[in-house]
Amino acid sequence: MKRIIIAFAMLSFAITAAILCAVILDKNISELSTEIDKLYTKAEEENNAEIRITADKILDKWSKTEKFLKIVTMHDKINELSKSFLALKHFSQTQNIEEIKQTCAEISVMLNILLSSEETELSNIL
Amino acid sequence: MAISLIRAVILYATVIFLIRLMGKRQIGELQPSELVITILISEVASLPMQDNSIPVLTSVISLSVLVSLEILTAALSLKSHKLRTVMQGHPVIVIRNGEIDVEALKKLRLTVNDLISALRQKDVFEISQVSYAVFETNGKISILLKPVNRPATAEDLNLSPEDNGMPFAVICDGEFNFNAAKESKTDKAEIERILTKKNTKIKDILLMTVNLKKQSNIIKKEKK
Repeated sequence: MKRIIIAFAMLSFAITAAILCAVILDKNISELSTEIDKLYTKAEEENNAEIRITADKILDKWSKTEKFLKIVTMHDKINELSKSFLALKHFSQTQNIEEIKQTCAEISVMLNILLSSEETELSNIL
Repeated sequence: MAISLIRAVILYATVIFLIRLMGKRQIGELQPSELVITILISEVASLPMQDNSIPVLTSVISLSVLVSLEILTAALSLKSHKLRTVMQGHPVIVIRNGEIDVEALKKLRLTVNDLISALRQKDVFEISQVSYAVFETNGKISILLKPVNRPATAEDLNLSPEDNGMPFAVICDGEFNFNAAKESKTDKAEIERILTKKNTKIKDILLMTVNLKKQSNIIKKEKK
């Protein structure tokens, strides 16, 4: 009986962890995507002061999210994203508007791919 | 390197815990579902050990789910005969009264040579001596010899030997085993008394067994 209770507990933990991970992942990536879109808009407006503030905010958010993502997803995908976020930091410091826009677009695509690859869909399951 | 080391320790602890949780049935004779789970456990656990880019957590979750499902299915199998048949299959009679059931062998995808080999491993070299042979769900064969070919039992010989019970190893390599002593309905003081009579001590004993009739067998350690 003890074994069955432990098995039930483990299964419940696994299901809860899977649901929680999906929710947290979705929330964090959506927030990051929104911030990236904001940064892109600011880059288009060439609002240099705001670009730096938003970029710093994004990097702060990313450094927190990265740790969680490395626990739940393949590290290769996260390392690629980290590289792009570091590039974004560099371009925001040097106020390179074109590069900021390009990196924002890249990050946005990568985040979307990451989110879609973790969604509970038949295509991902199969 | 340190990451690999820590990951290996985490996965080792997880696998040991899960294998222990599955129970001793796992170590002995494996049912088909248990064999599959054992292979899967080793595969799933080895992946994050080889590749540090795979999160350990995903592996731990997968392992936990596999073992949980195995335990729950095993528990349900105890209650449901149908589920048990689905999960484990059912035993198949392959020899009846010395005659091979070829259809049953075909269903099992076994050749006559496989059957003869399995019989030989059970020390049966003559099919005509077999009353029944059954292929069990774990792939082993059980044999019932014809009455004339069965070894004579005490009952056949009208003997009534005394049942002394199983001998329990109360001392192993100089260490007293309290569980074995409890099983053999004795205690440390009694064992020490026996040893004092034989002019020896627990630490000098390699193996001491005691049965329910308090009959003991002592093997002393070799002196260096």
